[in-house]
Formats: sequence, structure tokens, C-alpha cells
Amino acid sequence: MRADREVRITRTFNAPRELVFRAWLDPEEIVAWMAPAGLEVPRSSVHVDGRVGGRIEYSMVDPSSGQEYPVVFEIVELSEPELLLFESPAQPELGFPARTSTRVVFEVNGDQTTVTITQGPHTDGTIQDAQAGWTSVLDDLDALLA
Amino acid sequence: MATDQLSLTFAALSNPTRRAILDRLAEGEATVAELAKPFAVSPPAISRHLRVLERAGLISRSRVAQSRPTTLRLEALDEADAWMNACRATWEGRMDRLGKHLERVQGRPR
Repeated sequence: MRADREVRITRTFNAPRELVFRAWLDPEEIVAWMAPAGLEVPRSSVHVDGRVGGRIEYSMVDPSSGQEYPVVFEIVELSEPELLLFESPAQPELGFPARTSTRVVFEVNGDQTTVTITQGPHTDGTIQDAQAGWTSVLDDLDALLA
Repeated sequence: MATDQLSLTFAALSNPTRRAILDRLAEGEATVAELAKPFAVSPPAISRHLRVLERAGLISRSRVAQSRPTTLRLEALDEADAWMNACRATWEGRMDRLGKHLERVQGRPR
């Protein structure tokens, strides 16, 4: 039941793990896939400081209106090529009402790579508690909506 | 999308005492005294939590009765649920494009 509610995406790619991992930290590659449909990510807006304490920044631009939406992922954990843990500030204009944590796990699966992304509000407590906190909120939501 | 409302909802849900209050209210309406009973906090502290929950639209409180019994409102939780679905859709789209990108850079379209 909880799995229905959890923002957890799993995808398997026909690519080696190192290649999939690098696509998250290479500005040229970020331009190619991070923008949601209908928005563009100008190469000049992409800045990557690919280490713990660093960040990935870019802007999504709506070509019809010229409206810009800045995106920030602060890098909290980085273990190449297995794990990325990001935090992002609240961005109500983008529909992210609260500070969020995004966990990305890269697993070797034969010749393929499986990526699992978990995103949710960053709750009270330490970074290590963030996952538990989010899961707890979802459990509660589930219980309340049941 | 009422993001201000959502922001309040998530902030309200980030506190374990407030989540426990909501759990209790899922069983039915309760007064402040009844809500305070299981917690090692004073009724005034419970009242502060209730104000946060009320601002977030998660509960409603009777204006009529002296004891102001509190009831759970599910609409705000539905909105939080909708946010999670939007978040999922964003990542699904990104993973579609990442897959195509990885095919391109490896020069083997499938």
C-alpha cells in the first residue's frame, strides 16, 4: 500500500553504471535530459560543482513566455558510481512547497544499470533521518487516507 | 496549484506530535484535553500544534462548543497526494529522456 504513495521511480538502462552516473554531473548531458517537456535548459545556465558540499544548478526556460525557473540540487552525499543524495530548497513556484531530499541509487544489473530515485520533503532531523522522516510522513498519509 | 497551502501542509506534517494528533483524529473528533492526554506536553502546547494544523487546513475546530472539538479534514492530505503524483510524473519524464540520451551517446538506438 505504501509503495503506491511513495515517490519512488526505478528505471533500468542499457548502459554501464559509470556512464549513467556521469550523466547526472556533466553539464552537457544535464542539458539533454533534465528539462521537463515544454521547457528548455540553456547550456549557459548549467553550473555543476560535482562534490559533496557542491551543487548542480540550472534554469528551465519556458520558450513561449521567457519565464525562467531556477533549479538547485545541493550535493549532500556522492559516492561514484553508486549514490547521489541531493537536497533542494523549497521552490513553491515550481510546485516544490518544502525543502526536498532526492536520493539516487545506481545498481549494476548484468549489462544494464538500474536507477532508483526517491524524492520527498526533507523533514526535521538529520540527513540520515530524512529518508525515515519522509517514509513516516507517507505512512501517516496512508493511514489517514485509508 | 495552491502551493502555499501545500507548503503549510508539509510543514505541519513534519512534526511527530502533530502526526500523532492527526492519527488520533482519524479515529474521530476530540477535545484539546483528550488530545493532550497521550502526550507529555501541556494543553497550551497542544493548542499551538492545533493552530499549525488548522492553518494547514488539516483540521477544523468547532466555533460553537466551549470545548471546541477538533475534526480531521482530508482535503489537504489529498492535495499532498497530488503533489507526490506530480513529482513522480516529473521524474518519469526525466528518465524517459535520460534513456534516449544514453542510447544516443552510445550510438545504439533501440
